Amino acid sequence: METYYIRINDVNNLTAGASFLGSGGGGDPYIGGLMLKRELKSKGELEIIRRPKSSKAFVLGSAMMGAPIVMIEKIPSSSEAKKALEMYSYVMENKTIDYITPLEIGGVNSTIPLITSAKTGIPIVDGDGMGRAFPELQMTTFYFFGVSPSPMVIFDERGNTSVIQGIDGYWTEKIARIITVRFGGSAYIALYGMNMQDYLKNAVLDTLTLALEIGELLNDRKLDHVLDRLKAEILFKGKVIDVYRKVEKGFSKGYVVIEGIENYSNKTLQIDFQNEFLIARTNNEILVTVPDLIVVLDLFNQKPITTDRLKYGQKVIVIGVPANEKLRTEEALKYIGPKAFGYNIEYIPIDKRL
Amino acid sequence: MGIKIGIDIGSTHTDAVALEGKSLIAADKVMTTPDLTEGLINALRSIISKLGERKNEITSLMIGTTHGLNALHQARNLNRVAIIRIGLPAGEGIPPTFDWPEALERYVTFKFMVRGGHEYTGEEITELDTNKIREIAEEIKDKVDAVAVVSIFSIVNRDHEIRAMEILREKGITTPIVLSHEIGGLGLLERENATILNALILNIFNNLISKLKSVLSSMGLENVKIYFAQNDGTVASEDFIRNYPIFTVAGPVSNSIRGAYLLTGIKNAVVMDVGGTTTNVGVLNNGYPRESSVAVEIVGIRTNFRMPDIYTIALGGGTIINCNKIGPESVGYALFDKGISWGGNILTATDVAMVIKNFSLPNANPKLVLEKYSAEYLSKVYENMKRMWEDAIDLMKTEKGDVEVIAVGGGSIMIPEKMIGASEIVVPQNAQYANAIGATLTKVGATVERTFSYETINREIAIKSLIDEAKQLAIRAGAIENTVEVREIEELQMPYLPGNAVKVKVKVVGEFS
Repeated sequence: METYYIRINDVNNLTAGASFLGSGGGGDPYIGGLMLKRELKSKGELEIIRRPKSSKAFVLGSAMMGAPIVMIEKIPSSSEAKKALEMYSYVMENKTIDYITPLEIGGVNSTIPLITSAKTGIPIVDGDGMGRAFPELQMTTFYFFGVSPSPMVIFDERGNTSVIQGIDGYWTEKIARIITVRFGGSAYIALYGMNMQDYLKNAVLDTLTLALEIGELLNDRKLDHVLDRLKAEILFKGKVIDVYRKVEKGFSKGYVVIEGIENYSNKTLQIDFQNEFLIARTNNEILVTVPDLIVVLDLFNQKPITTDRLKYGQKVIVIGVPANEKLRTEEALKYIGPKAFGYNIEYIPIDKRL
Repeated sequence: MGIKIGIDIGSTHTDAVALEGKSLIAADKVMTTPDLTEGLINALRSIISKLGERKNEITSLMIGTTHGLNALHQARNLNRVAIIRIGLPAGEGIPPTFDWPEALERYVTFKFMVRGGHEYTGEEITELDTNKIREIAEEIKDKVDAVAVVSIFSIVNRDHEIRAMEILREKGITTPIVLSHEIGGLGLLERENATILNALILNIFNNLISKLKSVLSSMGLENVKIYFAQNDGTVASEDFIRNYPIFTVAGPVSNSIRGAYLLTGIKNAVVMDVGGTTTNVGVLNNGYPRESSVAVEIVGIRTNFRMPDIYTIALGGGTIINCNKIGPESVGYALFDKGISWGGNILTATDVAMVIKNFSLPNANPKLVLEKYSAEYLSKVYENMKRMWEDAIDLMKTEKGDVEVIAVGGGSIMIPEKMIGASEIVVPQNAQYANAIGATLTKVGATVERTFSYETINREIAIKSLIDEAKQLAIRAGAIENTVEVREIEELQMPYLPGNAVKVKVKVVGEFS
């Protein structure tokens, strides 16, 4: 069992890496980053455990659910996620929770489990259920490989609590979404309880480390190293010439058109998004599709641009990142392949397309 | 008709103009002083003396200044402020001023978090803890110069901010109380920061206004109305700015963009304001500066109030050219001593431009430049300067194709006659006074931003109520009631939220009396 520590000076690296892995979605981790800094200011450091050996240990997921736009106004009290965990334990007849895991590593939810860990003293395990960001609760490797999100506890800052026992991941998601809205658009959740053996088999491992590494490289402006580390490719460089957006069923859907510069002049790239970037294509050729990651960086400061911040005139670099192998399995693609998002496109891994 | 005086405080020069209607009847430039006020007073006295007997026709004085920004940068003479954040049990995760620089944070002497606040739907998170507000009043009485109050989602429902203010007043708090819904939009920390910054500089502006009044009065001018340039390219009366000085921090930058419009009549264009050390590039959108859509940092603090979208490059008249390298250092106002054309020994951007564009400035001799540098070298440097400006135009453009470009400021004479991306380059007459003229001829403005759920309130009623609110605000800021008109309505849907949640922004402008 390896451990390492996160300190206050690591937070900016973590949030930069999490923005990158958010693939345009997952929300701006700025608020979560500040909350985490506050915890680390008093705690000093937080222990991250890599590959715990105890196969019977119990792991539980911790996350924020809802609209990032609500979170920037209704900032959490920061103990909601901890209370959700305590309620989970209570509902499960005083179940001992040995480890906390993030559900996703992209965006704001990279920080929430660390705050929960700081508040509870329960160590965090280095991995998550997406290896990036996705919009819905059932879109995790845990679920693809047979772990149920239920029972799930959902908690708000006032102390209102619901326990959901959905018949499957979709129902759990649908019910939780409605409760989240009633709670005021943001809620804090505890779910996906499992033993360590299942966790190690199902999770995308070592992703906290990955986010920290990528963030450090990005903050040092070493994009080439990021590409090497992730076996990623630059897909395109250009200027945003059109952004189309509409809100549909609660999701921000649309596309962005980028006109090429340098080696890419006389070409245009279109990226479709639904919270996250989903499909990148030139005129007749599909370059990358979900679950592989499409990341859009500002050409000048190399900071990731989220889908809601896209605007005309931005000069950008577009990067394609191979998704973790666990996201590319047949089981996973049913839930997070292009077809799951309504595209009649086969998933072909980025490494085979380019 | 009356004479209007406009003064704009730049980093090197303070410009003053006197206008009768739209015609410039006097103009002057003085050196900006470190405290800004002295230079401002010098410019004021100088322009008034140029008017001679006509000084009695002066009706109003418009000022674009960075007094607020300077005071915050220096962290001196600021108010002691208490911040009350309403929203518990939410909001506790990041206390007020958590990531502030220490020099400013120490002026925020009391920080409270209180139960209350609202959801995005407008319903209460919890009831407002009125007892706690009463306790706070006891605790801070006579110990602070101003109070800042921010409540969660006060841009949807401002009841708790207003109620808190009423309680503080009932309990005898007589200092200014700044409410966040009057300062900024969505984003609690950013709005709270802007509200506190506003509270910190209230006295700076009170003192400035008093000083200006006594100077005017000493010159026998008792009835001159004073206005300040705001960040959005409009002006507001002294009474309004006394309460909301933070709206002036980007006034000078906006003035030159607004001035570019007023001098040319071109409503949509890229504006390049070329000064001594930098070129500020902004965009005219229907006659007013385009606003930034992302959080703007002021003295290292994230805020979200309305600021012009500006891209600054380190290239101005005094920019030093050294072995092909252009800037970022500048000789600034020492150009007329140090520039080669003036007998100095530093090659500046102005020296290069004079040779290439074949013009000259007072007391300059561009031939001195050609004695030291080859024409090929100079044209290569000028090519690179041109490219820097072209890149800046490209970055600020909002759509495909070429755009009109307006060049203003003291250095606008250096701008090439043709540039890639520019359909036409206009350098208007009096371009060097664009900022002061912009302040003088603009309108009184007000902006209000709120968030609504169109499922709980009818869209037309919501927008109408917002327009009424903005109009009232404009009238408070000095606009004549029947001239106030809507300039812009912006609706932005908020993703992920049901109930048709929409952010609405209304801007109005009117003539001043």
